[in-house]
Amino acid sequence: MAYNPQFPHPKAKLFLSHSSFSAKNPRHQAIISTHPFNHEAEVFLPNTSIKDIEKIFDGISGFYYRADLPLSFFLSQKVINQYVRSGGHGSGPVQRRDEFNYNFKTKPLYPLSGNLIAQSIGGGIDTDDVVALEGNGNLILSVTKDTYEQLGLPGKAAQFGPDKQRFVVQIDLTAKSMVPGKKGYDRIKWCFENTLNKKFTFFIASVNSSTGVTEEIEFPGEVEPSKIPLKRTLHESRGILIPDLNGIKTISTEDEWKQEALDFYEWLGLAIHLFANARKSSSVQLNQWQNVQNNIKRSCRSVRFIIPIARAQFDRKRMHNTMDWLHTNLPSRTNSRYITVYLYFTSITAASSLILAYHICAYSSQNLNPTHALWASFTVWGFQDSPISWRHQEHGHLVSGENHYTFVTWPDETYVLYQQLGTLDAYS
Amino acid sequence: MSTDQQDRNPRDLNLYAPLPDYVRHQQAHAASLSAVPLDPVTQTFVPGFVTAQVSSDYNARQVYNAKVKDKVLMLDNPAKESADKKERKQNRRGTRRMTAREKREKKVYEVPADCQDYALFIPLHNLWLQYVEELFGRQGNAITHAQKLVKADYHGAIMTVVRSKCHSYIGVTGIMVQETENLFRIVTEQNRIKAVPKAASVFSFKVRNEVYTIYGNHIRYRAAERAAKKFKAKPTIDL
Repeated sequence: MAYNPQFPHPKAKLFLSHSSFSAKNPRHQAIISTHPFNHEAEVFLPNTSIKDIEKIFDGISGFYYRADLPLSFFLSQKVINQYVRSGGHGSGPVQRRDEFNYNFKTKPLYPLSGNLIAQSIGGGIDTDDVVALEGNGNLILSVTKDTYEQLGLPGKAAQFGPDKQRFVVQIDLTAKSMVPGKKGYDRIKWCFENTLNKKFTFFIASVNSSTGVTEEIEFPGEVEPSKIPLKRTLHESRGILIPDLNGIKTISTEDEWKQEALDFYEWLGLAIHLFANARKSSSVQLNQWQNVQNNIKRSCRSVRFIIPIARAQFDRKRMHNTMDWLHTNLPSRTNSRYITVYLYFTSITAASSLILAYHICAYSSQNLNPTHALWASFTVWGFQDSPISWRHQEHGHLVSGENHYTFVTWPDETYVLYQQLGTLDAYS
Repeated sequence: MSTDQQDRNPRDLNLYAPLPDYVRHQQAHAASLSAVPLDPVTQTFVPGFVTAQVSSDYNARQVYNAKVKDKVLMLDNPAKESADKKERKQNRRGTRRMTAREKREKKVYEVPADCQDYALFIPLHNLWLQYVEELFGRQGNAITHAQKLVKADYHGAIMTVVRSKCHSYIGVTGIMVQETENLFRIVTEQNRIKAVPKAASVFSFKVRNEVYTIYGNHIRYRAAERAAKKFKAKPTIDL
């Protein structure tokens, strides 16, 4: 008789909120722009056609670099003046494409994710040193105890992880004192050239804070950056049963509403998972339930926590049951003439996310097909190894380091926002 | 001993020079001073009396010379000096010791401001290098050298703080000028004396193209004590 110790689940958190894109104090801008480190975005559009999609989403483009940089790169005056300090702090609202004639009365509440953004990859936030540069010029070094004891810069113990095993050093590159000749700057420079002179692999992008367009970066000679354009892939499928979200649209504070919202979230996650699987293996038929089951089985082996489901455990059997149950319990309808479209973007910065949000809003409020335009959703995933999640709050990695959000919008510009956070996060 | 400058001739500063004349004269004078006051009657009476009393088994003369001649027998304990008499005697002598508080106030053990000069201590560093050369000898590998260095004196070594729990000590480099129980005082190239605690710090210095690392937590002893100390392995080198 085996005894399996039952440990409590590491509790991930999901925040549900609702608002409107045209509300007086728009929350969406704050949520999107204070979440700087994103690597994927997915758009799920039911009951639409490819022609409509292509018109709207063609404008989203961008690129980022992957480069091995020493930290002294961020300290060079050229980089600071040209990229970090330029554009100021949220100088203006993001400009939209004129054909939509949108009038968002937005006031930049936070530095609009502009300027230079960088995230080091390859090291886990709970095991190695991670370096990230926020749009507002804040260079964050999340380092191990060994590195911190050799580094020489003042920092605080991290909130997450074993006691005093991880330290966070924050350097404000936009401060007036970041000039050669000042003691603070010289000390940081000395440390980056002597005690922590190893090269980190960064995903780095320079974003114009007023237009949200990614710009080119000049790297010093010995660095060999690889420019990676923003990839967009499009998938469509017919015959997927789309749940009817009228129950969720009418917001109420009752438990029923919450439960329906959560159920839909699970459904959405599963649907995206199927599409994600389709993305990886091209020939998959999503109509047949049996195939769906096979796909789920296959993809379970390579589990990456893409799925934004509220529970941390990934139970195959429960997923089948849930999908079944969702199909039966949520009222759904489908029309075989229309397809569900799924777009997938890689390496998206927060500014691009904002543009994406506007585009989706534009799309859904266009009312091109008033009888068939149901709802639209887009999800943005943050890096699991990002040192911050939202609003400069510290973020860690236990079982997973998920920090992503999903907007589900309707034609009248109202939306429901799901923010998913892992166990170790200070934002929650 | 007198410490007048005029008495010191350069040739007499040789370590093996004979003692000066006044010392030899003082020796005779001191002997006469410490002589016990003797009554002339005792002087004549005692030898005869003792030798007569000794039994015939022993040589009377020998017994007298060994046990009685020039010896003093205390019949009672000498009077103990009272505390304030003692203090008065001390103060009269003028050799009053400084208390720890006075030492701290007068900064006896600190390097004075005009001596906080890196260039001034470079000869000390060279002296230390010679000392280490002698210590290591011609043979030996890094392990034996390290064992010798544990008990060695580090005054004059160019040390660097490599790791520390406190970030501001990391990177401090210079010639070590003072070692106390818990501190290294290091003069940096910017002509400043930095007092770096040994606790929670790791130091390193380079000798003969080899870099040696000292874990501060393990050498929190005075330099003199360290020379005689048996070091046991500590459970961790963690700071």
